[in-house]
Amino acid sequence: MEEKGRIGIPKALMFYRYFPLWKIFFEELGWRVIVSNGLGKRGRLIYFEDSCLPMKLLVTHSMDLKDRADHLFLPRLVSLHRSYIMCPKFRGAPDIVRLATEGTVSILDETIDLRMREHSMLQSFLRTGKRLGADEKEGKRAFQKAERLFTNFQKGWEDRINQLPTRQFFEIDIPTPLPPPPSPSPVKGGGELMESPSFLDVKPVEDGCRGEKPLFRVAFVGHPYNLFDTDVNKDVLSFAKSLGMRIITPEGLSEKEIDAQVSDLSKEIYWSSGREIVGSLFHFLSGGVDGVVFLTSFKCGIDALLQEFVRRRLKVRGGSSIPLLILSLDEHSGREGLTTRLEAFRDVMEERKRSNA
Amino acid sequence: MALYLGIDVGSITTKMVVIDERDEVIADVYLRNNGRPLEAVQQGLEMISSRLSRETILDGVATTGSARHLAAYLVGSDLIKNEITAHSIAVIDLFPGAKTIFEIGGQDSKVIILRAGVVVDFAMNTVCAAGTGSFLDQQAARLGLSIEEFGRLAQRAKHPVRVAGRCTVFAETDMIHKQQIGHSIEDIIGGLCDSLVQNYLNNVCRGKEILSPVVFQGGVAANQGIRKALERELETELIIPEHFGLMGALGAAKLAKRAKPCRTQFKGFELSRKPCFTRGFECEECGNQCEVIELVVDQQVVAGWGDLCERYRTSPRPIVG
Repeated sequence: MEEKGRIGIPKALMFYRYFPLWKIFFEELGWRVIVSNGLGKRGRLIYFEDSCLPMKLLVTHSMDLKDRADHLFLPRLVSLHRSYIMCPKFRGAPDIVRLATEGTVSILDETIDLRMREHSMLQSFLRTGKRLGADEKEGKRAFQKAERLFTNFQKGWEDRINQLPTRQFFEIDIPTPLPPPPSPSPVKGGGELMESPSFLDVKPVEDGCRGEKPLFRVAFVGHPYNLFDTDVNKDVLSFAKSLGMRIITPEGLSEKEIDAQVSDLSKEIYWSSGREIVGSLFHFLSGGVDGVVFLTSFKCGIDALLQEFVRRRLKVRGGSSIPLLILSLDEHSGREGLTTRLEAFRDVMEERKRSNA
Repeated sequence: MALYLGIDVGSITTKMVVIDERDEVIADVYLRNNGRPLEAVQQGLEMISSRLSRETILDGVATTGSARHLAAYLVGSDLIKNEITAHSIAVIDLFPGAKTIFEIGGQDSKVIILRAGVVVDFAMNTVCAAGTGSFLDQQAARLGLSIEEFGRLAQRAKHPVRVAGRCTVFAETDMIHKQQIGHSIEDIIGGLCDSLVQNYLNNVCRGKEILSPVVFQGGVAANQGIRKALERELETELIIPEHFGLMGALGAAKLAKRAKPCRTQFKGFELSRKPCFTRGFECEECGNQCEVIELVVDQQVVAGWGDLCERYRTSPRPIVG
C-alpha cells in the first residue's frame, strides 16, 4: 500500500501502555508511524509551564516530532475506565502541546472517555480514522486487527520486560511469544579484574547473580510512564534485573483482581490510574511476591496522595510482611540514590527470605 | 589471626576499620575527604598500615558508602555493600535488641527499622540535606565556632528560637535574621538543632514506626546539641555506640569477614604511594550517552565503569594518551 504520510507519536504518557495498539491501527490505514527520540544528546528537557516531569517529557518529545510528522497523535484521554477518570492534565495534554508548538502541527486529539458510549475506544479511533480519510469499514477493520494483536502483545508482557532491554519493551516487531533467550553469557572481562566485584554485582562472592535465575519476584507499581520511561526512572528496571529480581507489573492484573482490593475502601479513588495503583499495591502486598516497589513522580499530585493513603491504609490493616519501597523520581534524581536504595531493598528481601526459611 | 578491613567512603569523610576474628577493632581511621576521595582512601590506607605491624596481611576487604565502587576498584575489594546494610550489620551484632537506627552523616541521613534483629524497612533523605553534618559544619564555621563548641553551646540555650529547618537556605536566612534582632548565639544554635531534628523526624522518618531502643550513629552523633534535641523530641534515651562515626566501616569489615574470601583481591598497602587519578568521557559508540569513568593507577587503566554495555570493564591495560 502506498504510504499516506507520517503519524508522529511522542514517547510519553500512555505511549507506555498503548503504543502497539496505536501503531498497528495507523499502519493498517496506510500511514507510517514515527516515534520521538529520547531526550537527546544532552538530555535537555523543555520546561513548558510548570508541571510534572511526565508532562514536561510529553512536550519535549512532541517538539522533537513536530517538523517530521504530518500529524501528531495525542488522544484526549478523559477516562480509560468505565467509571473512573484520568488526571486532568491528560485531558489538557493535546492543548498544552498545541500551545507549545504554537499551532504549527496538526494534532489528532479525539476524546477517549470510556464512561460514554460515543467516546469508546472504537468510536474514538473511527473518528480519528475519518480525519485521516478512512471510512468506517476501513477504520473498524484496522481497529479490530490492532486490538487483536495488542491483546496478544499483552500476553507476552511479563517475559518481554524480563528478557528484553527496557528500550525494546514496546517494539512490536519482536514477536510474542519471545524467541527463547540466548544462553546467559558469562561475565565479560578476564584475568585479575574478572574476579573483582563488577560495578553492578553488589556481592561477587555469594550472590553475583548475573545470568543466573532471578532470586526474587518483585512487583513494580506506578504509572506506566514512570515504570517504563528510562528518562524518568534512569532504567531502574535493568538495574533491578541485574540484582536478581524478576519483574512483575500491574499490566498482568485483571480488573477483578484490582477491584477486589479497592472495593472496601472508605472513599473511592476517582482517578483510574490511582485506582489501578492502589489496587495492585494491595494485591501484591497481600502475597505472591518477595517485595513491592512503588515508583512515584515527585510533582504528581495523585502519587503524593496515594503514598500517604497507602501508608495509612497499611497501618490500619496491621502492616504487610512484604517489604515495600517507595522511590520518588524527578528530573533531578541521580542514579546513585536509586541504586543504593534498591541494593538495600534487595538485602531486606534476602534477610526476610532467610529468616522465613 | 585473620584481619578484615572495612572502608566507608562517604560524601565528606572516609572511615576505615580493621577487625580481627573476634570483631575487636584493631585499627581505625577517620578523615576528611576534602573533596578528593581517591587521595583520602590512599591516605587512609597509609594511616591504617602505620597502625598495624609491618607483616600484617589482610584476609578480606569490603567497601561501602557513596563512593564504594570507586574505593573498591582502587583498593581491590572483595565485597561492595550499600551503606544501609553495612550500618545495620554493625548495629545488629552490638545491640541485638535495637529496633531503630538513626544515621546522620555528612550529606546523607537515614533511618533503619529493625525488628528481631532483621532490617524490615529503611528510608534515606530524598530531596533535602538539611540537618546533615555538612550544614552543621557550615553554620558553625559561619559563626566562627568549632563543631564541638557548637554542640556545647546548644545545650546552654535557655529559650531556643524557632528556626525554619525545612531548608538549609531558609534556615540560614532565618538564623541571620535572629542574630540581627539580638537573640543570643546559644538560643539560636539550640533552635537550629531543634528544627533540624524536626526536619529529620518529619521527612526522613515520616511514616516509620520509631520504637526504642534507638541507636544513633554517624558523624552527627558527636553533636551534643542534636543528640539532646532528638532525645527530647522522642522522649527516650539514645544509644550512641562507641565507634559511632565508624559504624559503616565496621559493618563493612564484618561483612568482609562473613564473606570469607578464599583469596583477597586487596592490592596491598603500597597502593597509597602510587599515583592514581580518574578521568571521564562520554562514550559515542551508541545512543546511550554513557558517562564512562576510568580509574588509572600507576599509568594503568585498572577499571572503567558507568557504561551500560560494559565495554570498558576490561582487564587492566596501560593508559593511552
